[in-house]
Amino acid sequence: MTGVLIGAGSPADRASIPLATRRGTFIPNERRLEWPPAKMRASIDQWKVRFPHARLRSATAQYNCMGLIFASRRTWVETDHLKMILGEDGYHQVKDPPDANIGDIVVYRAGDGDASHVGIIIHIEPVIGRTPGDVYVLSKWGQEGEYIHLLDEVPSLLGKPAEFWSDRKVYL
Amino acid sequence: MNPQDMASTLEEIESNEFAVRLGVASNFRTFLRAAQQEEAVWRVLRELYSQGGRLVLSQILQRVLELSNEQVDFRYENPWDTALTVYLWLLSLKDSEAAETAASAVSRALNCWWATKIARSVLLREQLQNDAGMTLVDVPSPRQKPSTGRWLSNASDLVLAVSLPGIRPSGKLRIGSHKPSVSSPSPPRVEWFLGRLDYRIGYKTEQSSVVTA
Repeated sequence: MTGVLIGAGSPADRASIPLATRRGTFIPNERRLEWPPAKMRASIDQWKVRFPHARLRSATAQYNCMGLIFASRRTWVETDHLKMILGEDGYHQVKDPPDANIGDIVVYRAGDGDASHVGIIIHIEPVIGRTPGDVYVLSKWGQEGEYIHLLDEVPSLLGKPAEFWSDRKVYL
Repeated sequence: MNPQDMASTLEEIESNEFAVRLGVASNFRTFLRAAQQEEAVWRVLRELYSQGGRLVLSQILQRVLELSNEQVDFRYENPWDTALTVYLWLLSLKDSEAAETAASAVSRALNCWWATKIARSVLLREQLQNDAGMTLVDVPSPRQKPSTGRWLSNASDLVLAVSLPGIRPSGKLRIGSHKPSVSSPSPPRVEWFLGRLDYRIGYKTEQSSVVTA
């Protein structure tokens, strides 16, 4: 029996898993089903043409960009919860690279300011005469592939890199 | 637009390529924003508001009913989830009755995601807010207190008037519950029904709650 579930993503939803911020607040989440293989293949092919330099790491629909970073690839977390998670997990905003560094998070925003995507910096390649060089990001594109890509190299729907956040603690 | 062009536009909306372009969205707003950038969606929207709009409306509704009844592989997400969502959204812009009919069908389709969310919005929230003067909120965990409202402590056989597709106006959203015993401080057990009483599509949990606006 299928139907309209009230409380989707809540702890009472069987599709959710126990997931909380460091402060203990439950993070609404749902594990999604895989896409049919033909559809996923179409995704891989389509983005390969559009972003030939983006490297596919994995193709699964079960988690999204938020799930990759905040739930160890286990589940889907909507970007609506980003602000709460960053606040409760002790993140602070940092300036652009080089202040932002490997392991820090980049938040992409759409034209209306909506947080539409997140990724994690995995490599910064120095480029002579240009700061910060090439910033490589690992991110999950919605239900589609998980890619290693340049900072700006994402579908336009995912917005533009707007902010960098870090949970690094520096003891001087 | 002639029928062939419309058929080809709908085919485009149901294609894998279309689903891929929208599939990168991580929230519903982004999904809808993407849909609004699609030329095929604009074509349908223009036709919906043209003189022949009623015909287009019935074509889309018919397509929703067909896709909702398609056999799908239970291991995977419904391959028409994107198309169903877009169709339902288009219908909801133009005609709430058609949207309700479509939402009812979509809610029975297997393994939908965005489509289920928009169907829920059409069937429950809007109807309850508009017709019954009440607001349904997500059912909190038994461990959580509702952030607003109050427990319905005496919700036995509460029936909210909700118009439902096909069975209007006798369709009901029925919230059946057991009255808590006098000695029990716990909130009532609530079961959700939509439509006929033998057709339960909702959600049943121990000690869940209904919160009134």
